[in-house]
Amino acid sequence: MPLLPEGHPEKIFREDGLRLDGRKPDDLRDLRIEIGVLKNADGSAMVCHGKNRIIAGAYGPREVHPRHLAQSDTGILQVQYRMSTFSVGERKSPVPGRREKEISMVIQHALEPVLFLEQYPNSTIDIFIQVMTADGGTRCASITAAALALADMGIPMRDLVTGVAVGKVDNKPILDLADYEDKWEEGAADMPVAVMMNEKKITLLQLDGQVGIDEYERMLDLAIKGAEGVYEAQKEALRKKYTSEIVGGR
Amino acid sequence: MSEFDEDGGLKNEAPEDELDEEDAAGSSPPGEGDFPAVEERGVPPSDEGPERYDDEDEGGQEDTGAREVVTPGQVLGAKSNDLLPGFGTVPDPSGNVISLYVGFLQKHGKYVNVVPFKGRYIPRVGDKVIGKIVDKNVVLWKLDINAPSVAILRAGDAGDSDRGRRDYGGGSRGGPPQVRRRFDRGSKKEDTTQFNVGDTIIAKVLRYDRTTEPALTTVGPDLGAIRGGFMVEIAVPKIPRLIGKAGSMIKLLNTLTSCKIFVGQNGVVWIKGRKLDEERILVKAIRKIENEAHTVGLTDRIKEFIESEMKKVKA
Repeated sequence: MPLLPEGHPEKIFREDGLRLDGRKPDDLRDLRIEIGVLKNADGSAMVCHGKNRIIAGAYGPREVHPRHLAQSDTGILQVQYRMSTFSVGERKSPVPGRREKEISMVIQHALEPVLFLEQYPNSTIDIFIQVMTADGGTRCASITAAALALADMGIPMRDLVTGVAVGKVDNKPILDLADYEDKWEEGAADMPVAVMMNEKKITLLQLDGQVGIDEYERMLDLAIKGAEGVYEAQKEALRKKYTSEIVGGR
Repeated sequence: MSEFDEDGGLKNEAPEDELDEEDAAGSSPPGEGDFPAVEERGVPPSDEGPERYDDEDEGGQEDTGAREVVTPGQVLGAKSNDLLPGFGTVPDPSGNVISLYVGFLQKHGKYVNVVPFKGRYIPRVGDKVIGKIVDKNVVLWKLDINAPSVAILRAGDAGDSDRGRRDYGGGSRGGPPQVRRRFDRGSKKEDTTQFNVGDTIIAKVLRYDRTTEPALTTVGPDLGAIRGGFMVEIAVPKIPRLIGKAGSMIKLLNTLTSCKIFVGQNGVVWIKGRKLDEERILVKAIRKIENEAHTVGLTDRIKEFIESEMKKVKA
């Protein structure tokens, strides 16, 4: 029996039109970001997005192991996304599954466009993402965290990458789905998006479910709007960390 | 490390006498014409080339006032003839200058620079670095110099192991060093008996083109194995501040604490002092420089800081 019963709500919107946690359709969940949480990583960040708790650590550029993965014309980015066994209601097997491998891969592709990997041939930049608590939209929060870990590391980046999920439930587009909204099945779709906010370039877009073209465009607009909020929080966290470090001293 | 061995230390410490103020200052960043590492690596440099951000020291900075923390991708303004991307910045497709790092914004003439807070050491030819030998075989050593890859020191690029003893004839401190015949000639020895795994070495970057491991040499003044003293690490982007304009900061630290200091460009600082207290104050001062690297009038404050700490110790 799972530790926490996974409740399936009967309705997804309250009578007053708000969502079950009191958000408007275009509201983000609470977002708390900390930079530099891992002492021994070159760069790190923790993102608490809703009930998600995600820690990302970045290392490098450093030598590639195993050696055959190295490329002599460019550096590589290696991403490992892992969910802790205790991060979900029912114990998750610690074996990296198909889903984790896929998410690692899409996060890698979402982050590569902001890096100047060609500057580091034969080297690798490693990112390790550990999901401590999962509550829907972990891949987006992971991208948010990983981009901050890279920025904290001090590697040249064209931009931060911001991840946010949009979706629809009961045929209404909503921003930043929580776990129970993700699992809703009537008129539902789920679309994780990662954006480079300065140039408004999309580095990740997945879509699970059926949407019409106009619905899709509404959802994408919503995603960009939501990403702006996350982006501001990212920048604020970076500034705060370094301003406090300077004032506090050692 | 607390006791300074006046006489006995000399025989073994080949590079030591070199590490006094002038030479330590000599390890300060190269002058004009040396472009920041990033510009060499695929980021399009502006035509004229940016001036180095670290040239700016006290005095030249008054106009910049409070420094702003910027984040990667942040627009610093539209690119124009009055606003050109310098170090740590690039133009984006829409013609704006954007930051590449989390760092402090600096304006230097027409150029905007961003000085990052952290960063890995990327070797540049001519840099003097402090590394630790992690591996050796018959023809070469491999050194960890905090760079993306290990560095290579070939046996032929290492000086003679007995050079130190010859240079300081008789071992009396202050006597004129003998002529260094073997400098710039390399060694005739082609084996790797001179250093061992675990030794810490001051070396110079001989060749580096980022597709291969950097090649080092220990032939030259200051270079060779380190004995005694201890090491402190400092963020690589803050090294220019630790050295100061024309080595001013390092000279100050040296005269006030009478410790020997060598600043490796890879963020490792070697310190050897006569008294534990002096060493401790020096480490504190280095941490203070690291934390306040962005501020104006740092040299004066460090001077005050060390003097007050010294008084405390004496009292």
